[in-house]
Amino acid sequence: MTPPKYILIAEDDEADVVLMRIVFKKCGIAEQVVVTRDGEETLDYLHCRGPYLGGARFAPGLVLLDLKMPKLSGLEVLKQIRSDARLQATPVVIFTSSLDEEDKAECLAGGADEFVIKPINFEAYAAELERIVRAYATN
Amino acid sequence: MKTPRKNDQPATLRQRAEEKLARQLERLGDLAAPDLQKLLHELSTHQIELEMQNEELRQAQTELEVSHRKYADLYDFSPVGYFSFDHNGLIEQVNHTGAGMLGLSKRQLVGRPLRKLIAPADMAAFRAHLAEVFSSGSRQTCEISLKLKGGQLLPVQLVSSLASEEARPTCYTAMSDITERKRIEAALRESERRERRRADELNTLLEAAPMPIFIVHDPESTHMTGNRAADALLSLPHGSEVSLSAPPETRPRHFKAFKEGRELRVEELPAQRAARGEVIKDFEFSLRFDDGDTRHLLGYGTPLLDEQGRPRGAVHVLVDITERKRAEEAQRENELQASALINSADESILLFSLAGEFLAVNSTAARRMGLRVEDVVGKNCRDILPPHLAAARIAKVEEIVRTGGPGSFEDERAGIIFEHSAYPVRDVSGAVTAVAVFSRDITERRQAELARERLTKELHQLATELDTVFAALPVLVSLHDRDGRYLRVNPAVKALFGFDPTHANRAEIAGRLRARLPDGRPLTVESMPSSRVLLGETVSGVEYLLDDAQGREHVMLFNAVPLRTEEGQVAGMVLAQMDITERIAAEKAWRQSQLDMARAQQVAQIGSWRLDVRRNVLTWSEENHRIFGIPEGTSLTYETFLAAIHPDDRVYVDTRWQAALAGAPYDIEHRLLVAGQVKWVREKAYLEFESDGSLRGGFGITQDISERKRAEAAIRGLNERLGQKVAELEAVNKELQGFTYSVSHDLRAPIRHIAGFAQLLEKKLGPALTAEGREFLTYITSAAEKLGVLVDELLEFSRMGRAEIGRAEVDLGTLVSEVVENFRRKTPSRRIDWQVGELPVVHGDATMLRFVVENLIANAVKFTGPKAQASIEIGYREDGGRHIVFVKDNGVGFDMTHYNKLFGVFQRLHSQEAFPGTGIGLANVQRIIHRHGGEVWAESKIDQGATFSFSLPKETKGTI
Repeated sequence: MTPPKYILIAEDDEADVVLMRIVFKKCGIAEQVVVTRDGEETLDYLHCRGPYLGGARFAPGLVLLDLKMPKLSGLEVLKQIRSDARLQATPVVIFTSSLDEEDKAECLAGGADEFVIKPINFEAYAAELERIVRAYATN
Repeated sequence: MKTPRKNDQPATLRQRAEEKLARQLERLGDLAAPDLQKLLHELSTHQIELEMQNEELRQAQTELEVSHRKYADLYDFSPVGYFSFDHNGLIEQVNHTGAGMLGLSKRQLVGRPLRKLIAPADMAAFRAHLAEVFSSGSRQTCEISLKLKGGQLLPVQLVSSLASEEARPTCYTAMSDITERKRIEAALRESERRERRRADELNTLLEAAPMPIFIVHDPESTHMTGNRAADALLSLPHGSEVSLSAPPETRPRHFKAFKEGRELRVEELPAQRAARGEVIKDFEFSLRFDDGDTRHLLGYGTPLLDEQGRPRGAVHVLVDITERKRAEEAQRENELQASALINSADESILLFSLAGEFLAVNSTAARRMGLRVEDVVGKNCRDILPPHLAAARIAKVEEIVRTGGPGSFEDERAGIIFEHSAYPVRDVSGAVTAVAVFSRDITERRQAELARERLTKELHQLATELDTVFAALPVLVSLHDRDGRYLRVNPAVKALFGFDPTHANRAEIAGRLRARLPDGRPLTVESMPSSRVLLGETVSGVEYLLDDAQGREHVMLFNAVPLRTEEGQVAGMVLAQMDITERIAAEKAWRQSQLDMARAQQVAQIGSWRLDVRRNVLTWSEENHRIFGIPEGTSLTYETFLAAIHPDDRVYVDTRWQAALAGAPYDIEHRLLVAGQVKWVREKAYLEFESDGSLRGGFGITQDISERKRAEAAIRGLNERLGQKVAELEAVNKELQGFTYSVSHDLRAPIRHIAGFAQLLEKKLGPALTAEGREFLTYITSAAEKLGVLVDELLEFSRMGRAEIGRAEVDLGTLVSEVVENFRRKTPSRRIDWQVGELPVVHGDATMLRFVVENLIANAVKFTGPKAQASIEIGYREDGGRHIVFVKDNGVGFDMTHYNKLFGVFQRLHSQEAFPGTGIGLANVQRIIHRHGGEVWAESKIDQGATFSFSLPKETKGTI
């Protein structure tokens, strides 16, 4: 058995985190999820510094990145991830409310694997997340 | 070998010895004893001698016998046949050789006649030969042929002599074979004959040769003869002595030899030199005869050598070249004459090769080129003439060669005009080999022609000009005879009179046209100023009035001069009258316009001034005085002007004015201080300068712009406020954009959460809830979803406002049919009659235009929902510079009283229950169409359908 892949969720909105956890639980990977609440924390986690210095950590098999976050925007985080040689290959999926075409273009140009707009209807939302997990976080 | 002794017989010898002894004994009787003794001794000795002699003789006899045998052998085997014949011709003896020659043995011959063996033709000769021998006894020779066995003839020579010592005379004959000698003799004879024939031929040739040929017979040339041609040349009888070195009595004296004008000495003559051993060729000399004839000759001489190779004479040939020489001389003379003629010609004569080379030129041509003839010949004319001239001439030469005909052309060199006549020179085959050009200096002729032409032209031009001037003069010019009759008039006269007055007299004219003095008094023929002119007076500047044929009054200015004969009598006159009606009217008008100008300046508050430096006059218009507050009549100086200017602006105005004097433009605005009141003026000056840069004068205006300045100040205030407003609006707009962005993100999240959690709640607690509770949850969910759609559309609306518009050709036909097809699929249950007409290709953003079409069609589909049979028509028409597309339906329509809300955001004319919608679609349509530079509008009545139209400009220029 290969070890399960971990998913790092960068999301400041608690409500979204709850909804995501519900979906991941349903998928049976609730234990393999780590949540960071802003851009800076996300980078701290990925680089094992600040509060994550020496702490238990895992290398995420997928980063689900919200765009509008406190401190550092998702786009900024994406760029830093892609500028780190060790994280080059880590899949990053932008999961956002933004319908802005410009955002989408910038993220794809910045190295995002996919730009997914969060559907309002929950069933659609759950289906989209499950698809992403299957595509990037399963062995 | 011993010398053979005389072969005497012994008997004879005995007899002679006894005789001798007997003679001696006779003499003995006279002898004494001693003598006897002596004699005895002598006799004894003699006896011994005799015995010895006898012995000798015996020996001799033996020798003789041996010798005889030897001789017998010699006889027999001698190469010559020996015969001896008796007087009957019978052979007595024959040697072995003789027998061999006859092919017989000795025995067969001896005692037989030889004649049987002789060729019958020679028989007689042989008999005669023998007879001759026997009769004469002398040695005889004859040649006969023997007839041998087999018929073969053998030529032999017989040499016979008679031996008559014996009793019977015997003919001894030596016969030798002369076959070889005969053959040689025959060959010699043949060769001699040939030689003779050849000599004959040569002699004939020599005699018959048409050129003089001489034979010098000795090295000293004392004897020389010639053939017939030679004698003919020298006018001598054939065979005469011709050598000038011959002995005086035979020497010819009637000619002398010359070379190059000098008489030749005899030893220099080619014949004599040849006779001394020299080979002579092409020796040109002449012979002058006493009769005055001269022959020109080419001499050739070849020495004749003797066996030792020493010269013994010569053969001397002359070629008479007199005729050739004469022809040459004649030609040379001709050439000289031609040359003299050519060189003395005033014409340049040139012979060009086809390559443009000078083959020959005369001295005139060379002189004109500044060269000597020999420096020109052989040169190409390109090397001598200036390039353009050479090129032109070569072109002409080529043309002559091409056309084959003569031609002529002119050109100019160093101010001299040449007329060239060119002729082709042909060879015997008729091909052009050269071109001869004769060039004549025609400068004077041409100049004279040109001068005459110019004069004629000038005269003609002058006449034409005068005619033109006469015809075009706005002045009425007429020519009159001394009675005042019109002889000639220009068109101006006819135009004003309304008819042609030529040939009419003044009274007739006065009858048709009324002339008056300025004060109105009529003019009669007598009182007309022309009457004074006919009396010899020159009149100028008389004004009068003339009514033309149409009754229009003209103010005329009369000028005239009398024409006089050479004697000074008046012969006629020329009138020059000017219609100054318009000038006077113009003067009036000008005065009027001056007044108008002054009034206009007053109204426009524009004053003007004029400066004339030369006349030192500065004039201001009334209005200028008024603006400056300086009363008219005040002395105007620069200081007066400066004093009126606002103190703060004086330096500025002064600086600009000084700059203007230096040529800078002068167009300034400044303030005046007039009676304590500030005025704004605009001043503009147009200065004129002399060529040396000094000021000639100028014109300028002064405009009172105080009102404008006040208005400007007001506008500036307004603009400032407007600017603030714009800035505020921009800030608001930015905020709005930010807001829109926030809406897209911040608003969607909570909506999603509401929807999400409501759904989760329904799942989790659904069965536990009451029906009403579940219904509430459904409301929450659907409200959230509607809110989501609203937010999305609002965002789209905002995006349409911001996004860049693509500019491309969009085929609305294709676009509409795609959209219609989509709706057809989405509404399978609906009965819709789609009518799509012809649609244009427009310029714009395909995505945005698709949004427009989708929205309008979606509305049509939506609002025809209640109709059992819907009808949707999409069509197009052109209207000037724009396309108009419409979507017409037969739906529920709307009340036009609410039209103003139709395209507003969130504005809806129907209930959400009846026709759900966000109220953003049409606002978005309008926004897109406006951004494409078009309009959108609608027409409808309730329940009678609606028509939505939009226009798009045909050109994509302008702001989008």
